[in-house]
Amino acid sequence: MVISYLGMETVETEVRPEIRIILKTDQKMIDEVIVVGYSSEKKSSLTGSVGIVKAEEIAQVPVNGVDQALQGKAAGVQVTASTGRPGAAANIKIRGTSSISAGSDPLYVIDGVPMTSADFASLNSNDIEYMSILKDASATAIYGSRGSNGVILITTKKGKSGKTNITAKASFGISTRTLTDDDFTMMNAQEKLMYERQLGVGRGAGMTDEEIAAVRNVNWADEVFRTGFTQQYELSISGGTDATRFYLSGQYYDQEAIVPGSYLERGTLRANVEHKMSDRLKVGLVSSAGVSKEGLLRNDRNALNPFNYIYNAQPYDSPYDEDGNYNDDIMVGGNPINIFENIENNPTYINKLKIIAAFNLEWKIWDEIKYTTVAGIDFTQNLQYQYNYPFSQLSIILQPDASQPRGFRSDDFAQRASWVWSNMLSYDKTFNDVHQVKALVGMEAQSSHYRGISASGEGYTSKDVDALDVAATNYTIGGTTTDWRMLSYIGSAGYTYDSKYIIDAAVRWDGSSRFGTNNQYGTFWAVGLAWNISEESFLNEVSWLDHLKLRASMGTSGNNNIGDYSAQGVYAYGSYNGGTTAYPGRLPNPDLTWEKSRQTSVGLDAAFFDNRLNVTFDLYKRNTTDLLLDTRLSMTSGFSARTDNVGALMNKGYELGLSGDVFRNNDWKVSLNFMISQNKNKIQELYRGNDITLGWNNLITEGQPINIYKMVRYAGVNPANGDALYYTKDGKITNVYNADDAVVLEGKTPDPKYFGSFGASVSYKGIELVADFYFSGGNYIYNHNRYFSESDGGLASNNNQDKSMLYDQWREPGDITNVPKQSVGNTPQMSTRYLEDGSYLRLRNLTLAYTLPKNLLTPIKVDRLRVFAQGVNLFTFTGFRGLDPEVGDSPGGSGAGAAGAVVDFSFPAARTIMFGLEVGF
Amino acid sequence: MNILKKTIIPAVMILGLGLSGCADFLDVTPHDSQDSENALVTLTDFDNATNAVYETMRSSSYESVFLPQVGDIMSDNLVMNPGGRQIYNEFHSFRFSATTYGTAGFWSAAYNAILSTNEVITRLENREFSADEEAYGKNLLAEAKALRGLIHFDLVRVYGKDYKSASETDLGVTYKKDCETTLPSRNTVREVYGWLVEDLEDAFSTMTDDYNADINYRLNKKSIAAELARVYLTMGEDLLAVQRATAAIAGDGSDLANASAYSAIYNGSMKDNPEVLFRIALLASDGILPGNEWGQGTSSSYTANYTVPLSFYEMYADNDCRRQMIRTMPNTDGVDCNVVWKWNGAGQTTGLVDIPVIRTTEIYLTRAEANYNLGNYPDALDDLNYVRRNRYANYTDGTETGSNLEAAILRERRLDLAFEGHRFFDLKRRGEDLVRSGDGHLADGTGTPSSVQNVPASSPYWLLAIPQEEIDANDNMEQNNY
Repeated sequence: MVISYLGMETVETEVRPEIRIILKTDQKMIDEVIVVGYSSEKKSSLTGSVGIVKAEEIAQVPVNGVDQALQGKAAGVQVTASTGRPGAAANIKIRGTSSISAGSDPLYVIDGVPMTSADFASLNSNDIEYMSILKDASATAIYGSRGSNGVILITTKKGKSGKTNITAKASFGISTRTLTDDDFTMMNAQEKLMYERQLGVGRGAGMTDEEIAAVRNVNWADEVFRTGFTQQYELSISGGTDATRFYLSGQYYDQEAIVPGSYLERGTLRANVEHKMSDRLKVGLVSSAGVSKEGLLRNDRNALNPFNYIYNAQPYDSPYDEDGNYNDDIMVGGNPINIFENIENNPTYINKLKIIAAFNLEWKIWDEIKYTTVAGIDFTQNLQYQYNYPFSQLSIILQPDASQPRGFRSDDFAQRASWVWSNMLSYDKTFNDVHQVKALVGMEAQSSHYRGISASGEGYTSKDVDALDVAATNYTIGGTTTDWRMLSYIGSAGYTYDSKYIIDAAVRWDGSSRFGTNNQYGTFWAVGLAWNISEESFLNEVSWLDHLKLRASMGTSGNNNIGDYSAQGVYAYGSYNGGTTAYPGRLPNPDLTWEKSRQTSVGLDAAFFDNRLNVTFDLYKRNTTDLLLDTRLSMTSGFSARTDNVGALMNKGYELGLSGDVFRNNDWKVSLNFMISQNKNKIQELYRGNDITLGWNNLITEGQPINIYKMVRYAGVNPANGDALYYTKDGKITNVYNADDAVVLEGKTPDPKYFGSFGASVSYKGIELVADFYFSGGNYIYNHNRYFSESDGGLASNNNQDKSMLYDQWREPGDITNVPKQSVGNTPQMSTRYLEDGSYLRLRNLTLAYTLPKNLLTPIKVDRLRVFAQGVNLFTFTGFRGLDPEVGDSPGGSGAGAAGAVVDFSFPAARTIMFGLEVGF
Repeated sequence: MNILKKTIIPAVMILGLGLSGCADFLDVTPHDSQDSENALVTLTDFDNATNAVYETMRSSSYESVFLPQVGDIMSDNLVMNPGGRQIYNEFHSFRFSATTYGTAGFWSAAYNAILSTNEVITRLENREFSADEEAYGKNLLAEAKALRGLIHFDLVRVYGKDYKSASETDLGVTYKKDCETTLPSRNTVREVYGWLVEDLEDAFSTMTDDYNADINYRLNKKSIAAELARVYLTMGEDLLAVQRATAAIAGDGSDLANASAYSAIYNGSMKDNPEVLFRIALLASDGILPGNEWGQGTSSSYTANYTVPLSFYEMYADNDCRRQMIRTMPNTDGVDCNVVWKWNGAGQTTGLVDIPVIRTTEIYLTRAEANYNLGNYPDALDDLNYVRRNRYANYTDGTETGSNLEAAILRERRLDLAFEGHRFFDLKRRGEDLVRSGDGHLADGTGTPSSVQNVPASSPYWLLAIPQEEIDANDNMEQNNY
């Protein structure tokens, strides 16, 4: 008797009255074929380090962006939400920070079309079949040009021949703040008034106990945060015949954030079609369109940022008066603005349209030789709307004179249209069953065109009439146009002997319009080796070892993320007294060329005990040279800087992934997984050894990791007189704060020293329980919120203060405390007092799902019915005192610091609970 | 199907794989700027490039804030309001360093403007002018040379020693005559003055009388003569100063604003005002409000960054029309201060006012001072009286002689040019100690006096520091000794 089952090794046994047969997973059968560049490869034949994240894993986490769903899913891939705002992109770093100025974002390629990460919010993550994350030189070589930060390839669903599958899914949920009442340590009205009385400032000065007790307390965290409602509906239809396969889908997604004024509403459509015209000719089209609308808030210390109010609004000020109208005398950020009135009367949002489509054709000219072409477009259009209603408080502040036109309207329009066209000839033949030879040559051309237009006007009469045309006065316009292009030639070859020994090599010449005419082209190469040890005959008898493979690779890749015209010497134009001016705007640099990174990586993949334990381990070292940096020039030249190839840095680290179905039988399955990555970064060389200061407290300096903190060290409180103490540069204690005493803080950077995830999945019959934890640690965050809320009295009259200012303050000689003597004369200072360890552990995802048994569904003609409940960010364990330890914001734009270095009233992550239903026909 | 396979696909393949034929595929040029090689072709292009020099001088790091303000902050004309923004306080106390805010900005803006002059000069000097462009081209070349001389003069009097006290080896600034990106060292003060006089004199002799004659927002022959008078007075070349001053002014006082027209100079545009020989023009769209840097607020509640010490305010007589350029008004803390009202436009708190770089009054007083030095006392007294007739109501000509005449000329110079950035340079060129009055910042002379009351002429802090960014980038650049 022969027993066989798909994906299991076939078993032959004699027939007996009662037999018990355990089928073993067939390693060869589940060897997936995955997209790794311009071609697909079997996973076993890869020499590079490639992480795979499958549809199920993405679907598990109900977040609005595909990028955020990647968190904790692939070793060495650090995913940090930039903010908790719905629609915000995540910061993704693969194997550390490899560039100082040319960006650390990986290259994203969806179905062969390169795209930018900021557009993920317009994609339906359920359309994705899997993502391949290419991490080392061998894997990224074929994308050499821009592969230095790694490559994330996204493959969307294509449909299967056979019965047409219809899946409908609906889910609903709520989002709430993660901040608990215990975490919220700002003073209440009574505490603040007592504190003000003590200092003799503000409303509390001179109040009696009775008067203070009678004041109504307002908890601004309760006022600002709300419960947001999320709903999501989607329908997908897939199927086909032997010749034609298709996948169609549509989704509607509507999410309210945890604060008013912020939301994401999105609709997406997708049509993927593939048709075999003959055995040798295949054509296909993948296409998607997404439209979205996102409500926008202000950032930082802006008086229009609601998170500012949680800390800075006075607890005795109420947003509403007794009649429920907005109070208009709340002072935050120096202006009398009511945030809720502002959100209602000054709407700001952005409309996005995203279209990605690619036509592809595959022609087997002969059995061994295949021609493939992909022609794709990536089109993005963003239109940002702002209207300050003429009667809004903000409009009145901006134009106090009621006889003058009030109300402000602006539109910002930005459109990027890109096309890519690649042509490949590939050769694949196996000789004598054991010698497999592969080769590929090809070219790729890309062109991208950007146009931005902005317009604004002032002077409106009604909130309903908002056309720009109607504005009475102060018209402004702006506009920019930029282009870049790339032209690349690719060649690769590989040889495999008997599925055991694999060697491959690739080379790529890339030309970028951004570089100098002498150096537009860069050459990138890679060599990879792999040994499938488990295929060796001497291991055939080792039953506990299912699979063992060693990998090694070395190669180079490049980065061209600089301004589109940085190499060109140009004249720029301006005006003087109404006449045109023309002046030298930039020095030419005809030698400007690619930033290069050279990576060496070794890895191991193994599976033991019938796949109960899978191990993946990688070691890597990556040197980036020719960093694209601004060099300082003698200003006597008329210029202060020029972009040049200078400097070097290094990243090294390891990634370890463990997973396995530790227990399984007919009813039960228990899987565990664990992943950890560590990366060390070091700046090796800078232009003339000059340090680069970033924001308030970050430094790029030779011999240290990138963005290390440089700050004045806080030395606590003098018990004798309550003075705040600091260390001088030389380590002496002083009560005088001097910014020149800032020193490099060894080992303290905004980048985590380690991060990873662990989780478990338990299923019993149709019931499934999945829990994923994410951890990240060893990083430091400057908590700028505390600069305001722990000001030692200096900001007491305008800002609410932390309870510790009242209860833990130094009062008399001998008091041992960390909170100095309180006085309105104090000035808050940036020091290590506000620098905090940002380590955290978070229950990222908890899912409980039940799939109804088939026998119940067949009578009602339903194939599949699944109900589920999901929780995101249910618990967070951290010592960090901000609203959220997941800080990915790049306040560099506002001059504050490196990504993840500063919490400045940032938008925190939400806790989300979703319930859903999925039906398949 | 066959057509597809046999014709279309192979054609696409060949086209695709052979896109290398398009050698210019990667040639992408910007839309908002022109490549430098092709940017300056017609004389209109050169005119635009010359115009850019003024645009750079307009920056707040140069003429619209830094020079007019710091020139008085580093003097006895102002005292800092400790409740203000404390902008440039390091200069007020003569305790600045190479990284003090403003140091690099002025250096960088000046050399940026010089690059534009050199772009024009080096290209026009090698140009074969056609007959119909010769006059225009030579005038543009003269204008660019004059600007190069003028800007180097501003640089050397800020970063170098006064000409008269400088030794043969004392360092001035780099005199930049080319467009190359190099790492130059500093030229001596003597070299710099030699070249800047050469540039200005060259411009003065080649520019035609009619060029830019009816505009004052760019240099013309008269304003170049005025600049030369200023330079020669600084150098102690009194005879040349008198000669060039005479070429710049009417000489009979007819081009001075009289007492009733005086306030009109500062009420908006100086376009048609004969008093203004050379101005930097400001438009609302430029976004520069010089008054903003002197103080902010409303006319009922104002915070001045610097106030006028009482003893200096009292030097303005009641019948002096310039007295209205100072107002006594409550500051935000509720206490009265004497605040500078020269930069506040037509009654606005922060107004739009052109920058009067050279006024005829300065040149009359320059000629008076030079004539006094030459012993031509009656001529000196005449020029002084022209000025005083136009500033004091019901003025009867003065009759000073000897040192009283010199003191009267200098007193009038201080009163007239106050808050326009001259006082520091006048003290420096005359080698005088700075002696502050001890007045506080409040209207009645109380309040907080300047932390530094006396700066001897021998102090190294009469020279601003070469910016640290320059020292870091350029090993050949030597810092001043402090």
